[in-house]
Amino acid sequence: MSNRRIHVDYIARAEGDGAFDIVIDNEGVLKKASWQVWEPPRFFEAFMVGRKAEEVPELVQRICGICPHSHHISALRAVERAMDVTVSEQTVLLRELLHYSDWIMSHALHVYYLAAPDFLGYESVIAMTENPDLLPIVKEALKLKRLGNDMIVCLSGQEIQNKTSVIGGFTSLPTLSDLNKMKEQLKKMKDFAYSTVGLANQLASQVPYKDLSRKCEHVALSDPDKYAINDGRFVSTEGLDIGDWEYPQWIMESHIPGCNAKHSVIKGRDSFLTGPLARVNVNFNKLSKDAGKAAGEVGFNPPSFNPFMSIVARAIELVHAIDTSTELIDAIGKPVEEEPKFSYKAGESYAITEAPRGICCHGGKIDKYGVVQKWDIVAPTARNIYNLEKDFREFIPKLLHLSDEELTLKCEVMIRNYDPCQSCATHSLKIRLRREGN
Amino acid sequence: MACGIMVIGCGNTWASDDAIGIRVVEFLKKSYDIPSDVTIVEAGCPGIDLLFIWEDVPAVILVDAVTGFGMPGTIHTFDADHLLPREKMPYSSHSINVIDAIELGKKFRQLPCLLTIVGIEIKSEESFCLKLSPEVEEALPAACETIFREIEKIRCASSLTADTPL
Repeated sequence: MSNRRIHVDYIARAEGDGAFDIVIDNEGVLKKASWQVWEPPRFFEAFMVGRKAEEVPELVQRICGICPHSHHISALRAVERAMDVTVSEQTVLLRELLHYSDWIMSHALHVYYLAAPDFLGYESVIAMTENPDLLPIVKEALKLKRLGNDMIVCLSGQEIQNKTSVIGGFTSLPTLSDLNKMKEQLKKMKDFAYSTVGLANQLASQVPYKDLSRKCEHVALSDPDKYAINDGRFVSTEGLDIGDWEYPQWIMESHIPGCNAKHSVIKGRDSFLTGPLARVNVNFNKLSKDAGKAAGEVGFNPPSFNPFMSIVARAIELVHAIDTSTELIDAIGKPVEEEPKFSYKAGESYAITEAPRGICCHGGKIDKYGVVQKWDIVAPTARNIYNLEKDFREFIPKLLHLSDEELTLKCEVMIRNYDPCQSCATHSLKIRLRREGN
Repeated sequence: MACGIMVIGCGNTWASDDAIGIRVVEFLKKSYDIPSDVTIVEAGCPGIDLLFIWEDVPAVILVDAVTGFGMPGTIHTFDADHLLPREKMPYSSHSINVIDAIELGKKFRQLPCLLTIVGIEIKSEESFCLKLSPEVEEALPAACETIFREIEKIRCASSLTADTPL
């Protein structure tokens, strides 16, 4: 066997500039599997220094067009915690509803438009629509995505960066009528979301690597009373249980040559996974009743350490997001006008929220005049990079019998399955395959 | 059904010439009297959300960057039946771009009755650059004139199509 080199240079349907480089020696042993993120740093952390604290949650939304609310709410909570700002129960509920809207939009897009073509062997979602059986499903999926978009507009005033949510609360509220209409739409899409779990499981079952399982530490926010999204302790499948504000002491980052994104490990341990699969594994018993039922019907048995089960976890979370959004609307009732209030106070704190792709970390130090002295931001994709490399090291040796073309495709599928969004860092990821010795 | 013509500008204002669609509609609003039946939308990088933006709008002129067709600043017009290859237009989040969105719109029967794409050949997509290249910037007035010509064509076409209220 000759040496083989797989250099992943461009992958469609993923976000961010980067390359994956894999080298297999002539004994068939994997010598190298590394993800090189080329995307230049955007210096958002440095932009925050010298800004007033209330500007930070607004500015950090610009990091990402897909999960701006995750960055926004993480920053809100970090600033409020640092300045001892308390918010009303209504604000807590509205923020959760806003974040679940983002999950619905993002999960629907990923499951049907980005991941499904891979599992079904189509080049893209457009090719999928050539199949008359799949066309109505893809069209219905767009309605589900749209539901998330519409909820975001209703709550935040516009589709991407919100105009209503600020330190201390909301400057503008949806009406009861708006929320009731939202509830009706959620009800209409529930059955489709439920059916997504079965479909996702069928897709995951078709892949030749369904038995790939690599035990690693899965981390997620966790709350004894609910499925954590905006608040909770930072918990893992390996017994880690810390306050979310303590993450800088527990998650260590290091620079890797050739990669503009840092590698993350838990102090004294190893790489870890964050995102839907980790959340469902950590918080399975906090899922909504129907989400748990849907998971049971497809035989999802937590904890699952097969990364390809992420698509099933996303689908389960879609059902949960719809159920919980409905419950949140009921709990909010008729929104009551409240004036968001805060005063400057020196402090330092950190916070985590669960973005659609996993933990989104923000925090820093604010002086007594409300001026930011330092700010830390780490997006979920950056947290997962090292873990993805480790999956590759497990995965590729089992697929060496495949042709270059097939092996490259499998690598692409694996990368896309992580749903990397380096837009919190980037634009597009590239894949190239090369066999040494040929 | 909504009435009127929608002019949609697409692009990333932080990526030099990629912003041309946005810059054209800004220039249009600043330099011309916009007819009352014309709505201007700055859509950024909408991806598949284009299908929501033009929902129920009978006639759309979409303005975006194109590459690989000639000198920077050259203006091209296309319709939905004669689309560019998808790699000729910028990618959006998760790589669903304008061409993908139009193709899906065809499949879902969610296209405007009349759709024209005005593509402006670009030179640079430099990140964090807010300026257009000089030759692309010079194309702004010509791009606006193209849009007005297309508006007139739409009006002529609609007068022949009684069931397409404009």
